[in-house]
Amino acid sequence: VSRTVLPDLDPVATEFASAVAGLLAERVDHAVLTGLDERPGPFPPGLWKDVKALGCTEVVTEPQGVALAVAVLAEFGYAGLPSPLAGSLLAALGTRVAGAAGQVPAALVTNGDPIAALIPTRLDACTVALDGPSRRTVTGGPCLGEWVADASRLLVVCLDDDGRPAVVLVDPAAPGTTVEPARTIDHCASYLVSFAAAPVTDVLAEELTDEAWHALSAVSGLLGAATLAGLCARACDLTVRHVRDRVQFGKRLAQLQAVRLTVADMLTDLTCLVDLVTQAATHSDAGTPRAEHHARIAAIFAAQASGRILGSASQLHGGTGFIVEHPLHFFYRHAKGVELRLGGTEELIETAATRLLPAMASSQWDWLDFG
Amino acid sequence: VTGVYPVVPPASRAFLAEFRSYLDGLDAEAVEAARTEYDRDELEPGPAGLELWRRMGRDGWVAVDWPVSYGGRGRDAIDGWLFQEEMVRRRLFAGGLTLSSIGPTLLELGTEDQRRRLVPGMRTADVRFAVAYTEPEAGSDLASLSLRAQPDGADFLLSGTKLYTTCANIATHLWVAARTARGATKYEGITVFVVPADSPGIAVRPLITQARGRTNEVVFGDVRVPRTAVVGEVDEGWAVIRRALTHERVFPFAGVSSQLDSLLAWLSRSEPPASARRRGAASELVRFVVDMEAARLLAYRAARSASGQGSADESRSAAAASMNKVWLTELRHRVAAGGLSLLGERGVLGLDQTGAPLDGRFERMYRAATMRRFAGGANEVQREVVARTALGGSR
Repeated sequence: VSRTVLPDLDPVATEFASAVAGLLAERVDHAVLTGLDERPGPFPPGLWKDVKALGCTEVVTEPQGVALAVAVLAEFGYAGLPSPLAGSLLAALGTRVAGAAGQVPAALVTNGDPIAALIPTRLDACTVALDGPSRRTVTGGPCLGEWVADASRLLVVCLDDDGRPAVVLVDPAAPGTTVEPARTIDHCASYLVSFAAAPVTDVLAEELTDEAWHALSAVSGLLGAATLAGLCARACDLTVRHVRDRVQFGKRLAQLQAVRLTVADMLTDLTCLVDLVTQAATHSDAGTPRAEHHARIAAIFAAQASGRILGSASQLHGGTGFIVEHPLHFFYRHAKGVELRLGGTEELIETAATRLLPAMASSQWDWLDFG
Repeated sequence: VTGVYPVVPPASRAFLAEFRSYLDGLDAEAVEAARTEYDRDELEPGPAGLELWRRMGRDGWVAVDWPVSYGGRGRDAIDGWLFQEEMVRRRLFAGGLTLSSIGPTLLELGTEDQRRRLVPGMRTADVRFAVAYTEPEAGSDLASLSLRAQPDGADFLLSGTKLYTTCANIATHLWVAARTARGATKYEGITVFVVPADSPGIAVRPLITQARGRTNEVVFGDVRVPRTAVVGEVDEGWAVIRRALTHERVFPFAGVSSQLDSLLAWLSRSEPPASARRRGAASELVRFVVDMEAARLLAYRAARSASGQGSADESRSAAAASMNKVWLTELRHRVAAGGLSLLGERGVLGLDQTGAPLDGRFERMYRAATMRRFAGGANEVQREVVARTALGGSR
């Protein structure tokens, strides 16, 4: 049984994560990551087939869907492997938490093909309009998206005629959609996507309430935090191994006090991050009133702690971790990429200030309430 | 909510609800008097704090995780932790090291005579301990202590000086670590004694802290103690100290979270000062909340570990108490310093000063906050404990 990044999740999720960890350990090596770094996308088709066969794309229909999703994404993070799975899970779970029925729309899970989620930090980046009696189209962009060339559908969050958020699906191959590859900070296949009256294939949610929109954006942050937890766990493992092996001044680095104290801080950050993600996923699946807050807190902590952990990992590796023959650079760059795709630390904090602080100040917030 | 973690078991939630209900039913005036004392010095109870402790002990609402046969409720370590958190949240003295560290250690390692003589009185504040570990030349390096305990017939004679012996001025007994022999290592030849605080030869001198609180220097001038005062075995006191420190290492987060709650409520109620309206003030509060949430989960992880219900990740749980201590004490200082800045110019006003925001509690918190980082095992030592779980190395 492989060790998993989030061992205290629901046992169903932990067991599944263990299987995913096994698959990724077997299939993802330095060459795979380097291949993506040199030519991001398409995702290796054979690997996607195996990921699908394991059931990764179906986890969203389970009652523990969020726990399963964060468990899986954390393992992808640990492997250093960006994938279309992140967008697909976000599309499904985001729509689930935002939808009144709490169901994942069938359009997102019928065949398990990748979905790219375009959820711009500025909601007015794209608009959806009625363009004929029953035809809707999307216009706007460019929006940053990942694995768009692999995607069978694009999930777009945009504003409707009344300025209310809506969630729609667009066929990336349909006329009106322009997709341009973009070189980015990491090895995650990225694109700039523009729409000029691109036809909508499905409307997943209309006239989202503020609460629904916030629930969706909070889940987005949580899934990003899960990936960051995996990236950080691997960075800690790489660092522990390095400082135990590397000899300087006649001693192993692990014997030097400054190094030991830095590693202690990395491990403490990682422990907090793992617990926060676990807590947020548990509350999200249970639909508790605090679910959104826990998800936002996990995302903010992940954004901050990943910067600290990866920064320390790079420092303790020195030149060894700076050259591309060592895997650390994948984790260092991808962690920043994940944080930025969530809008960046400051954006996450600003949003939380408008959501979290009023809730805490206006109600009897009980810190001893552990669910 | 279902799942493995971080969900407190229903029985513990019921326990907390029952405890809260009990506390709510206490005489409000008496509780407020104890709270006022606590705000002045949370480490040393005054008359009202001692009376509350006595009352709760009589009612069976202290030492909840002690065995029923010793007057406890036989609850597990999670409930013991929740008890402490709730008391700290309400800004009430919870019995200090007497109940959290010395009592459980005596129950485990004391003689039957010691348990019978000392333990029942602890619950009712009739037996109160001050812990005498630190010395002028032995701080974080505790095992280097040199206060001598010289055999003299059937007794020992203690001579030397202890520092920072908080509550020595109100204690009935001192828990003293002394050097009885020079061993092959500094950890050998240490013995722990229970010494009545009124023993001839003991001189207590106040040391006033920057928090306006009091700790003490205690000078032992050939203080005679019988052999029956030894806890555990002669020369093998390090094991006793380690056990006592393990019990001590529950660091309630609620003292910080309740201050943060007060700050948030005050800022939302009052016309906030310019310092709290500036751009970035709300972001700073969010950072506090996020780190507070992490502290909360670390505290629970540590409590679970202490109760033997550790997380699935054993390596992280092993160091949970040390992680908790470092994270919480450093957050406490950040919240104190940052919170005080948010209160603006009037933040300089101390306890009881007219116009002091939040009754001057943040001014007091700022004064006291640094102490937590070095007391109870300096944070550098705690980080070393954490590092050891991953990197190995000796103590």
